[in-house]
Amino acid sequence: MADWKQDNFTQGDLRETFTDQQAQEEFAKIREQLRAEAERIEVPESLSAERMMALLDDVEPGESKPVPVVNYKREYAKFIAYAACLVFVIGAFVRFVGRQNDAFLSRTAGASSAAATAAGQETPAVGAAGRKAIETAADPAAGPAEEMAEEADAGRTAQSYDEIYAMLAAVAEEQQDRYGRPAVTFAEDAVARDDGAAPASAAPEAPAAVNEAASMKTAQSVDAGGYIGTNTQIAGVDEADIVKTDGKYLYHFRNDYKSGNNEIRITAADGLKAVSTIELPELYGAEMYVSGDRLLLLASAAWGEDCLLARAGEFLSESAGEEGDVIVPDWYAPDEPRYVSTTRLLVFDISDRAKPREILSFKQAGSYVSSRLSEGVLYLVSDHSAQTWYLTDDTYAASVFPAVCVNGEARLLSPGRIYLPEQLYDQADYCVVTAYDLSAGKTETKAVLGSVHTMMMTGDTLILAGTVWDSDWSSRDTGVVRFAVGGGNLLRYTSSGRVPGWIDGQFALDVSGGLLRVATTSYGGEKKNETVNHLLIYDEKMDLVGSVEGLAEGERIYSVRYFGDTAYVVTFRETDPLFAIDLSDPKHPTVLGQLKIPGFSEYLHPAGDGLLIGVGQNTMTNAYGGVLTDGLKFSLFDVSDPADPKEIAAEILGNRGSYSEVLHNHKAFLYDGANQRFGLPATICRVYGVTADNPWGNNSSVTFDGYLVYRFGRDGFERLGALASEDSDDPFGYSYDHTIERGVVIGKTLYTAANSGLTAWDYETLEQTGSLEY
Amino acid sequence: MIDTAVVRAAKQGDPESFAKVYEYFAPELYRTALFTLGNEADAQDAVSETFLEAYKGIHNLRDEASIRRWMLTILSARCKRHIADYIQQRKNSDIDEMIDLPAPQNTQPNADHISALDALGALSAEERQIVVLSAVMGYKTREIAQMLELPHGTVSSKLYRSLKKLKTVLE
Repeated sequence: MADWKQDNFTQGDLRETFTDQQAQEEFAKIREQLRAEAERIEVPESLSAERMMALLDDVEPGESKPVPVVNYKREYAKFIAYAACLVFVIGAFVRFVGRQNDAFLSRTAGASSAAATAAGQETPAVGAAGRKAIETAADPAAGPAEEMAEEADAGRTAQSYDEIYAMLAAVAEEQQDRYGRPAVTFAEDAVARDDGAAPASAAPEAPAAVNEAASMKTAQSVDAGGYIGTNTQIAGVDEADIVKTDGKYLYHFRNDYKSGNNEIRITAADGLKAVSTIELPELYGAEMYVSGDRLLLLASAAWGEDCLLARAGEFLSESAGEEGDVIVPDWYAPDEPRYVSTTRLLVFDISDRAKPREILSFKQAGSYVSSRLSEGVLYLVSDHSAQTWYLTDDTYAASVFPAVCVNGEARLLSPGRIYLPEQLYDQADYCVVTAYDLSAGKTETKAVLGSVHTMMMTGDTLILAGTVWDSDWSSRDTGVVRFAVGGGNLLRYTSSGRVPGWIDGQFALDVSGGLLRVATTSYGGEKKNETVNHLLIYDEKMDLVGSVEGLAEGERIYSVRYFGDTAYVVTFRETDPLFAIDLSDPKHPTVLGQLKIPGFSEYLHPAGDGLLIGVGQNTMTNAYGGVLTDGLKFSLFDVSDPADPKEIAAEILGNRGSYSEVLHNHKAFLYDGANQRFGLPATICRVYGVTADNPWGNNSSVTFDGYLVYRFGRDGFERLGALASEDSDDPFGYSYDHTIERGVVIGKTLYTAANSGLTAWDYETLEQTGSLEY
Repeated sequence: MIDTAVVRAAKQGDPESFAKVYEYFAPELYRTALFTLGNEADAQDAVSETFLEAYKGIHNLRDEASIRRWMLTILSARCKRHIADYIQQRKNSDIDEMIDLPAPQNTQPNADHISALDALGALSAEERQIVVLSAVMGYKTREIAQMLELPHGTVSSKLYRSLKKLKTVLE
């Protein structure tokens, strides 16, 4: 066991430890110099608040606001629909203003009932009216390779780009009302030359690769292979991470500290032998899956690379409209249309681990939100903001509509793949979802008009959640879209709905027996400006079944975990109530019990036998009544009687500044139920300068950085090991290259991964047994 | 720190509150932009663009307490776009971090020693952003990584190299 001074973990006073005193001083000098110079710089008059606010007034005093007139000429250049792509455009819930747009919309939207809705009626109640099955067969661009034999979707898709464009225009118009910003205007005869239908040049199918059947086994916890992989929300549904294992090899996405390049390192676990390296382009937020002989990398593409995607559909219009109709302050430059945020998927064939081979490069519009891998299908979700408020000839169509790019060929998604849900909201974002079947090697993309920030997926249901606002900003709600996945459904749109309040990440959502359970926080308790919390249950059509509302006024949700028919919700303001909510009768969810303790848990993990582990922060109150964090905290809750949850053990490490990645990323948590252990990376800090007058101290400094391994049981917590990250040889002390980020267990060995390399430890004794520096 | 009640009112659409929020952050925004882009005109553009983006999007702000970081994130994105313009002007399609950018104009001419602002000219724009956010604004590399959408390791390695470069230049 590592001999780590208890001192480093206790709270209280401790002298500072610097790696190199002199170097710290020099850096501090530079910092002071920069700050002193910065402080002398004054804000110029042109940037004063008065001048800035005045820019929002586009109208001369006395004039009425310009009525958006449909007079902007627009022609669509070539749009090539991607044959094998099903694009669901999950409707950015666009609210129709409907006042002036009737004429335009009824002319262009075609004869479908969708047009009637689009023409500005009040949104119909969620229900059968207005819903149509997706007619994939009718889509002229559909290639033969489409069909994934699914049941008809429940959603309504767009008839033409014009229809979507008009919806986006309505958003822009509404934004003008709200923000006093310029409206987007359209040409009267803006009907696309080819009536909005994609031209017949059906694109060839994505040249995806090799069709070898790949084993789809993914590791969740210690299994027959004897290894513990990524900690996921739902067993059987894998989530991407920077470190993966298949029990024989370790796969690590990292950044080379010296060259600054990104790469994936493949290492044989036995003996920690380097096997191969995959060089990667510049990517952000990258994470991986390994499944059989396939390695999948997902990331946001470097923004400079996005030009290719932007080429899809070229320009929106060839001829200029009357620029005078678009009122824009002359100093303002339009959103750079060349750059479209994209999400990238790279698939590698690693059947020969020593020679990985790229077999697919796929991009979709939008910044990467999240992904899941289940039953051999990867689901990839991104959020694409449509540029709505200064559309010119130079605006790339891909800034307005979503596009995908397969092995270098970029295409816009056809309107028939773009879903416009019943409920309309006010943002012009698309949620883009791609299902990639690993063995078939094919992608299918759908998009829905609506924004998305959170993804949750079980074996049969995909839930996407995004933010939605009320017209008077009185409430921030969550727009939810449901898809059926798995078991014969590749990606079938089911329903959408609006849930009051906002959610604290993927763990706030759960699906059980077809019912969606969601825990939210919203404003509007007894005192108007206070937050209040709810647990709501919806059916497959997103109709509300039951709820318990108005919990913990003045607090907001910090963590949630669903466990069978019970939900555990942690709220916090100054103390941490842990609520246990019984969901066994969905029409009447009930609060069973509450526990108030200081500190709060950010992450809850069921630990069997009626136990729940909480990882969070301890807190203290300062002289002004403010709440400060005061150490990393582990809690052990006994919830065997949910009506009376108890905290039976707590471990507090360090003071303010103490931190673990687990606090915001559950994938950094390693749980070994069989051995009643858990592991996590942690940085422990202690404050110094604590005096009687100043009990909360001054600055804090790091006393431990590395990986902690704990045993838990009804007798409490026991620290088995504190595995320190390697010392940094960096005199400035700023290197995070050696910071341990993940732990993985294979058989009797624990492997820890830092950007600089891997270390092997005996899982029993926690003595180091080997290391590999990259 | 600005009162979260003002931020909340701004979120809910009150223009006066938004003006107050902007006023509070304007000096930081301008200084960061100036240090990053190296000239006043572009820094002013970046700040006014940030003003507009923030006005447009403040209702999306999740947590009032993170308003400062949120605004600086928008500013960083606007600065990135200006940097792209520089590159376009040079007909250079690669966004190479080592590219030579317009030399910063020293707004406080001082013949005695190289100012830190001038020294920043030795860095690439991305490095400048990181140094400014870390050394001047006090953000941790973890936070900077989120704001600039870079891997954490990239941020700390660039910060490390930048500080070394600055040290050399300032010597």
